[in-house]
Amino acid sequence: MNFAGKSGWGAMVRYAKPHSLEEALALLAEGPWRILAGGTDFYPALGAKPLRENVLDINGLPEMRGICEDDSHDDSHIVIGARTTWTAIARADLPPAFDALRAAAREVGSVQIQNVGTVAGNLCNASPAADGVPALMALDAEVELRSAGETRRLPLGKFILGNRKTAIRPGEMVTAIRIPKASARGASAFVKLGARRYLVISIAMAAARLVVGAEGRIVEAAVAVGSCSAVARRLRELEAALVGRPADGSLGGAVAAEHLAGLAPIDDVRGSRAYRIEAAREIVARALCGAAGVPETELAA
Amino acid sequence: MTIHQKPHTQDNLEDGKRQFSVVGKSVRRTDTFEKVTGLGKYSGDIELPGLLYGKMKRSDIAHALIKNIDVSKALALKGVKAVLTHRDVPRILHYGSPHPRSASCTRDQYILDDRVRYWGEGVAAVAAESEEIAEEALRLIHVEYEPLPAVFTVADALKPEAPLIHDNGLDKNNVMPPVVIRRGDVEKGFAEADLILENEYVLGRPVPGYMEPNVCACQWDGNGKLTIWSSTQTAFMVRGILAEVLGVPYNKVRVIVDHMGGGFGAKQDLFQHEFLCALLARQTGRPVRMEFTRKETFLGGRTRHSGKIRLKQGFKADGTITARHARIVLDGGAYGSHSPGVTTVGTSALTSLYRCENVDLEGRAIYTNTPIAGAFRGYGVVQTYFALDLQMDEAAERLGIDPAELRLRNAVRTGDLAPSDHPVVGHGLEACIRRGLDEVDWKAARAATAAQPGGVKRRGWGIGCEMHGSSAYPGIKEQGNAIVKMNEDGTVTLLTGTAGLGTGAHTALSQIVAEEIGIPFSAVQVVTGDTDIVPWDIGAFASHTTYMGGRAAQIAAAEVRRQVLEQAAPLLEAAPEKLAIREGIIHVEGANRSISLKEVVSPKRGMPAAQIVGVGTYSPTKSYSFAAHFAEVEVDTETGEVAVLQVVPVHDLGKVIHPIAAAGQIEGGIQQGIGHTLSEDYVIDLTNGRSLNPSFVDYKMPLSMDMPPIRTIILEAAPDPGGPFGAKGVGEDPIIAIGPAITNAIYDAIGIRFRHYPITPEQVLNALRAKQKEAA
Repeated sequence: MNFAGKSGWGAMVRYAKPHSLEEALALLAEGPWRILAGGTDFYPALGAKPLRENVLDINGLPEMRGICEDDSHDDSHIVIGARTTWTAIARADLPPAFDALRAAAREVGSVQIQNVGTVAGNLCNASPAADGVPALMALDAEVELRSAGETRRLPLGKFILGNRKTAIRPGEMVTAIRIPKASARGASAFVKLGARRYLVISIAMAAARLVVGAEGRIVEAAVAVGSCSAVARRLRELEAALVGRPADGSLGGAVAAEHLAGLAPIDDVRGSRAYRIEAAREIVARALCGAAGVPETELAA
Repeated sequence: MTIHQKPHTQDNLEDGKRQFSVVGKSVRRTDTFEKVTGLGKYSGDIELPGLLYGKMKRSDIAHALIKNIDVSKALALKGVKAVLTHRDVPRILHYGSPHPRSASCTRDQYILDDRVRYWGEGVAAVAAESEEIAEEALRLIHVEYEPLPAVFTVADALKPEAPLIHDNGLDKNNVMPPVVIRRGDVEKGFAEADLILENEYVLGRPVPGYMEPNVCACQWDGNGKLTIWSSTQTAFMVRGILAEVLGVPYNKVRVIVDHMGGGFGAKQDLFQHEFLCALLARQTGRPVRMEFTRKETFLGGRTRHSGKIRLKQGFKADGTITARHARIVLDGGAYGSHSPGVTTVGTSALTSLYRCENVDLEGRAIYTNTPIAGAFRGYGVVQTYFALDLQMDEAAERLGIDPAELRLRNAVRTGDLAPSDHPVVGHGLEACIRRGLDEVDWKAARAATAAQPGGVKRRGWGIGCEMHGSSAYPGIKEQGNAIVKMNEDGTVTLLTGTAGLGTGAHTALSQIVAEEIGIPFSAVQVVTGDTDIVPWDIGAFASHTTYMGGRAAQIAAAEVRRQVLEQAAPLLEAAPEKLAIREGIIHVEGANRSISLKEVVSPKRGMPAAQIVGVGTYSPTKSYSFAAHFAEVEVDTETGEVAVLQVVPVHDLGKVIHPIAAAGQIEGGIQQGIGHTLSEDYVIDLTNGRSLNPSFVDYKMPLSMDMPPIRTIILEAAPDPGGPFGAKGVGEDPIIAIGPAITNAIYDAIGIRFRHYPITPEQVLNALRAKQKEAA
């Protein structure tokens, strides 16, 4: 399907629903398009306004849906197709390192949103409060971008450039999210703080992944915080400080103020800057304990 | 849900031996099928041939004179059929809320004025072929403002140099003269006190958040008669004020209200769009529909009154309250709406709940350049009982008396003067408190929270109480009406003017009619919501629909029953007073003779059936319902989050008509109250009056996943002789007691007294940190 429609105001907009990736990439090469997948950000942003952009509907591309393993290269990956929904993530049989991502999948909007909203769309929307970003950062996720002539991969931290800003170039679209198998180790947890239990934009959120070695000590740590800066951030100093520590209830105490120095939350109606920092410290501690398998009741006051 | 039905004992109530066949049973609601199948028609569903779409241009400045409005570009846009500004509409000062000449409301609004008084006030309206064209036209309207100094807080509005928002003859932006209530000798009372507490309580600004945004559709016929379909709680009030402002007789305005998606009191007002929709329809000669966006329900809707309460009470060592002194200042927003009523009801509520002979109360409402505060479930009492019941908790602690025990000792009881100045009936409040104490095993629950070890999450139990009147008496002398018609096949048609906000009121009224006549529930059909058909009604508000409208229906039904028995008597060869109707069969008491009602009323050979109609009119005073809420909370001391773990609400309703519907009211009120206490606050930018969170993205109402288990207990402890079968109201009660219950539970959990709402996680965490610092 590919036809030019007429909006209420005389401006011509195009709508296309290609059925192969090649067709989609060829269309992308022709000019600017808004890409439509699950539509859970697209439609609310549009509101009642008439459509003024060309729309490339990628819901006809079956190859971009689902999760698979790619062992064709030296560095093997778990590949999440760009059209994979949150519900598919929540239900997928994935290793414990993905528990944070699966938990985030259950926190994105409502079940109806999770059923159609896609993980890749969450990244492309580039909201500072995107639920999927911290967990994917803790997995060292890469974003696969394709255009008619090129395929490139960017680390997630280099893909999202700022509030609503990404590194997508004209003619490109996100085709997959790739998790290096080397990072899909250990166990992870995700903690989100909002004004109510569900259907809420985060005040702060944290994902932590820990690999625990012999004698119960941490050999690898990955921690990311969202909603507290324009782009979610890995806490590298904290990660370094965690290596070698016992993975037990004392982990909560390992999070120090200087570890959060890189965060720059805003003041708004959802929460003040000071509260976001304070809450971030606490939910990072809880995410660490969750990843270490420490029951909540053992947390020190 | 538990219901404790006690035999009634008062002479003028049904005697305790009465067996109810319909009342007290959760019959299938009259509106269930239409609602679950989507067949029910709401005002937004109205489709008419040639329908145009109306939209309102709203101000983006809080206080300004309109120097000029240029609508030429909007009018030139293809598809635009009409544009109205203040120059094109009747300039008639009218009541914002249309209760006829009631002291509860102010008369300070124009349809459109040459001045705006809050950010978001309508300044122009457009009718166009589509909503999109109408919106585009709004963008093409250019308004030139001359800014005026503006005030966004009560404190600023009261300053000597503050601009006067309305020229109503009162100084310092007062909406109306202060409400003053003085009884006894307060100075003597404080002199006799062993403990005096004085605190300030700060009230947030929640909004009703009804599911169905305000909407209406208007159509004029060839004879100059207006039909308006509107989502309103007060169809006849809308008719009256529309007729007066548009300059047509009442019989040329027909208001139709079918299904409604909530109102919570706010839809008692008449909004700008209802006038404008009618005027746009008249000007274009075509039907017009206007529907608020969700954002507009915030900007142009009605909020609960925010404000401050300074409360001072004296207590004797045994808990006796010796004096009560209160100064209440409410933020009325840019227009008065229900400010006088809310201030009066909220202030006078402080004369009661807990007995006190010496009171000195003063309540005021102040204009500010913020969105309009109006009627909202709880109507001032939410605010004042929040202060009262928090201070009771504090007093109990200081006096070394259990907080529930202190409330029991002071609970208002039979013979005491109620806020409405007439005596309380029964011991409803004491019954609710006692039942709740047993249900939650209060002593053990509080002992357990007191003994809990240190930890990140701390639990607490709290109690909150309330009483609330059914009907707006004495502020408004009300009247309920009903017509009951007997059909020739023995079925009955009930005509009532009461609006169905979604509360199940029409079902309750049908049950009352079926019970009174002695026919099955299925034999009653209810006709509602068309001012050309149903009898006059003041509207659905003040928790009075079942109490007042139900009693009117009962009176009408009794008249039908009387006429039926009169006709049956000769057929059964017995005096009418010897006859009884059960399940549609007329029996001779003590004899083995009966005849079906249908046979009595059906046409006979060559004879039409006689028309049997009963008309019921009821002018109530007031009854009071009571409740005690018990809440358990868990406070996360590292994030400041408060989770409500369980609520046990105990309500005295006199007589419950439909248990599930009553419990639904109670649970819904608790959900709304949890939101008001912990998260909901409509935030205004205090630098320019702009709304900061006019959407459900950032105005957070609790959802089903946030709801704790609720064990609802309904008592029939103190039936009211004025209500049908002793029934009293339930609509507003449940939102009042839950706030204090939660706040007092937070104190039990973490030892911090919050004296404001909503209590946000951030504030909890800051208070915990401050407390830790103090202790260190």
